[in-house]
Amino acid sequence: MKIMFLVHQFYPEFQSGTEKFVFNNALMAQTSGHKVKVVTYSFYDDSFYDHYDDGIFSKEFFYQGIPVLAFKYKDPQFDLHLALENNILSNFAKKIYQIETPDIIHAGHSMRVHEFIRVAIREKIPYVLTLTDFFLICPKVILAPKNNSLCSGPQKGAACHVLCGEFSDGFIGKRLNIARDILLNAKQIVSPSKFVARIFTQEVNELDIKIIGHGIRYNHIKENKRIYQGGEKLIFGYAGTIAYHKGVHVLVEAFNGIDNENAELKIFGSGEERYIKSLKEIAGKSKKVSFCGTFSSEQVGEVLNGLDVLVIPSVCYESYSLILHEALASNVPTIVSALGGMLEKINDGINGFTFEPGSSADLFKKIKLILANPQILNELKQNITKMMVVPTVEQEAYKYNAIYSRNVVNGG
Amino acid sequence: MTNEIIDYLIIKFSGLFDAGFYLKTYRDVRLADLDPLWHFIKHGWKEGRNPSTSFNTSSYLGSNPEVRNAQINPLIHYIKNRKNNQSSRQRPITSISNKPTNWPTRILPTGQVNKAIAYLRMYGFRKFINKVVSKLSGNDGYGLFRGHSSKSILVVPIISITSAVENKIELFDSKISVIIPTKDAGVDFEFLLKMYKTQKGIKEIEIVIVDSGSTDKTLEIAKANHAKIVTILPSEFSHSSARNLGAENATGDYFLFTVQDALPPTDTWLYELMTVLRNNNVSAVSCAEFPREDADLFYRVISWNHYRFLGVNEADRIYQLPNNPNYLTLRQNGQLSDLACLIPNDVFNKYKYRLNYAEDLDLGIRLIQDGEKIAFLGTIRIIHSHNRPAYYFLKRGYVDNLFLSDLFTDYPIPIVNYKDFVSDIVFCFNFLKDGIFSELSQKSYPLTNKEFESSIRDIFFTANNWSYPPMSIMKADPFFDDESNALLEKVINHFGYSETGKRYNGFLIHSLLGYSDIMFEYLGRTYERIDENLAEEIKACMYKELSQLTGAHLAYCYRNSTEVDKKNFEQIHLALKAGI
Repeated sequence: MKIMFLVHQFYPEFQSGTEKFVFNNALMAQTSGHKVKVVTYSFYDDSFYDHYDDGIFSKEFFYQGIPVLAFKYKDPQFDLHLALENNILSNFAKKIYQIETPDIIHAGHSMRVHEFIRVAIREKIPYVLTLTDFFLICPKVILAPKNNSLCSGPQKGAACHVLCGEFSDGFIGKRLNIARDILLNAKQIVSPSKFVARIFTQEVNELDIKIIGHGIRYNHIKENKRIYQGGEKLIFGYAGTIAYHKGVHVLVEAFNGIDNENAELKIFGSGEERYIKSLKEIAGKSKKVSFCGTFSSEQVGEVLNGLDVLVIPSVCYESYSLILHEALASNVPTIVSALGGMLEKINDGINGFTFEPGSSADLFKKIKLILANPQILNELKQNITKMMVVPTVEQEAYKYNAIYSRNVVNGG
Repeated sequence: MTNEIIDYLIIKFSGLFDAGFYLKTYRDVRLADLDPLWHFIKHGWKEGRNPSTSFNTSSYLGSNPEVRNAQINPLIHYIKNRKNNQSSRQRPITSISNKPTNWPTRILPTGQVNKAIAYLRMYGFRKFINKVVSKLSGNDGYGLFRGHSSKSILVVPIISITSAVENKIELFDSKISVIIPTKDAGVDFEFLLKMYKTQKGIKEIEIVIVDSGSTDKTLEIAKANHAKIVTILPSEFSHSSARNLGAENATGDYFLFTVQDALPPTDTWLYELMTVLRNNNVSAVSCAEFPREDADLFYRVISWNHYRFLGVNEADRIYQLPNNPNYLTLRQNGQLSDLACLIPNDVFNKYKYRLNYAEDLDLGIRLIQDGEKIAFLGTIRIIHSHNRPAYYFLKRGYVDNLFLSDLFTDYPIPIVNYKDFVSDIVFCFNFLKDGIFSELSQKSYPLTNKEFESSIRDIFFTANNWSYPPMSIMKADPFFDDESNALLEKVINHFGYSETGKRYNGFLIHSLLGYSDIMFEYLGRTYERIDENLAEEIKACMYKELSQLTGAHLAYCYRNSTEVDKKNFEQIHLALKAGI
């Protein structure tokens, strides 16, 4: 069968969790004998592309053996990151389907590729939709009306009217109708966590959402085997996108208060330059905080193995957090903000720690607790080993494979 | 029709048609439930299909334009003319020996000839013809005149598995013993045991490991996960004895035999196997593999082809004793797998495992021979694959074919001898590197499948214009492993090589093309274009194909050799068998 994966951005341009999820599943689908193609929006210079058709540049290339079709609008679209409809893209999607004739579509995200899903509905091409965040029901993607605030869903647009006045009721209403159409026409909706599924079913009650956790490429994982005696140096770390909603500032603020020669903080990843600059200002001249730059998927084991504790200080809902699961698979204890899908995995004081979202003071306490008694990490690590079953990419792909087969071979 | 029947008899008794290969390779023939040889005579050769790995139809027709122009079946032409072909540069492509005997005794095995003569003397010509026609029409594996009324060798193609098991699980009030032979199970073992401990829908799961000398943390992990530990001395280990010992120490109502590196894909996997076992009145159930992320191309091709042979690539099957048991139908219908075999305690204890190789197939065959039914699932799978070196497949090809010829008295052994074959080994490994790999390195990628395939085929078709190279055979290359080289050099030195400079007239390269056809088919299903990375994987795949074919043909040589030759070859024979 031929499976077309849709995603709003992809390797090698972008390297966050959704890109990794789409790549892993495309790779596994190909390994298990299916034809695959990833279709993605992209932001390369115009000269990069070798095709132009009706307002859209495009180019095909391979990324680590996976065929990719990258495209972008010739002219900037003011609603590029918000909209769920675009006529130029609709025409392009129709042409691509005529050429590619996929048996099934798997959308890892709908931002900037939404028309491929809408055309699939009209052309009766079956599709599977994985809810990797809240974009379909929230134009701001993360259910965060403003910095340091969260909402619990659009409530048919009523919450948007109150909390996000910059969008007109008409825009929100139409957008939610399109989202509803996309959600209800999917052959299968999948969520990586119960939390995300709950938010969506609050908005569209009829949805039957299957939970499939994102899988880990264990080939890239190195188990942390350290045993703590007390008195040793501890390296805390952050690894991922460096952006305000990821709460890295909360971590740096908390770390500023730490007066312990044995504590160090390493920050891996890339992001908004202005935000990174502000983080460096918060860290001041502290030698305990270092910015280590980006890392590839293959290096994740090395990065996590170099840490004693991973901190995930998000101030928005995490739908799943691949890096959290990679840390658990590596037997690296975590401190996570008590929000979203992460709470389904971390029991405070049992297999990690949680702290009040956005509270550097609460995070400070948890870091101090560990520094005062590093042996506590041994207990957390034992419980991670005993309690946690983090799925492999093969297990994740197996479940999706069953969905593809059911909806293609049996015609849904 | 009369001519076609004569062709049928000629080819059938020549031993040059491999029905198993034909059915495995051409899915449409298999699905249509046609007699493969009849199909080859009526249509196959005209469509360029090969009758075996040892005869390439297109290559033969390309080298013999007069045969192509006259629309003569190339295999018939070859059989009738092969004495002349011995010295011709167009000699194709077959595994028949060079022994100078005369047709028809050459193509009719002595036993068959004697039997036929005795029958003729006893019953007369008319009854003999009737007997031949009757034999060909149905009770002889694949009958010549089989029509729609013939029974399929596979029965009950689809199993109804309780749907939506994830949402609706009714507890099985049974205890299952998961029996795992272990030796240095590695870092993933803990994860494996956790997956079994978290299986849903089964009242009790007992894990029994049979360890044969682990020095890593296997025993520690097993103990921490409350597994029952049974030990067996490495010197006493065999695939059967270890599993039988595990079963003797297991207390479950059902046994799941599995291996240390096969991972259940979901927490309802065991429940699904139980559902199949209970709902379908079968005595045992096994399932196919779902590959790991690092499964190499060769492993994926051979797995896909094997499951195609079993008919489970997109389906589940229940098997019983075929109407016409022979080496092919028994292998298809008797397949159970050590990767996952769920079987009731009482059924297993009646049979137990035997042999130290293919004990799973042996168990399946014994079950169906006793009238039991077994299931093999393609829609439910277990995560497992390997990424093994060519050396392994050299030995695997050898051992597989020795074993199959032991297990099945009708297993066809092509007539090939060491002396001819060592020259073929030298030629083919060099041709692979200097011909095919060299050509692939000069290509500009990406290529379409068709472009890629035709460029490889073009090189293959030049093989008969190449000469045997000097003895320095396995030239340094990332794909050529030292262990294979060392073993093959021993083989070549043992029998001697003196063909340098002579025109190639072997058959192994054509067998490799036949094997590559399976790879091309897989590539066509999975890839639309071939990029540089995939081209490198294809090179590694072809090297493993050649290694496995070499092993297989060495096994044929061994089977055809004299007792004196066998004795002289004993050391290399043991090395080829070791570790499999």
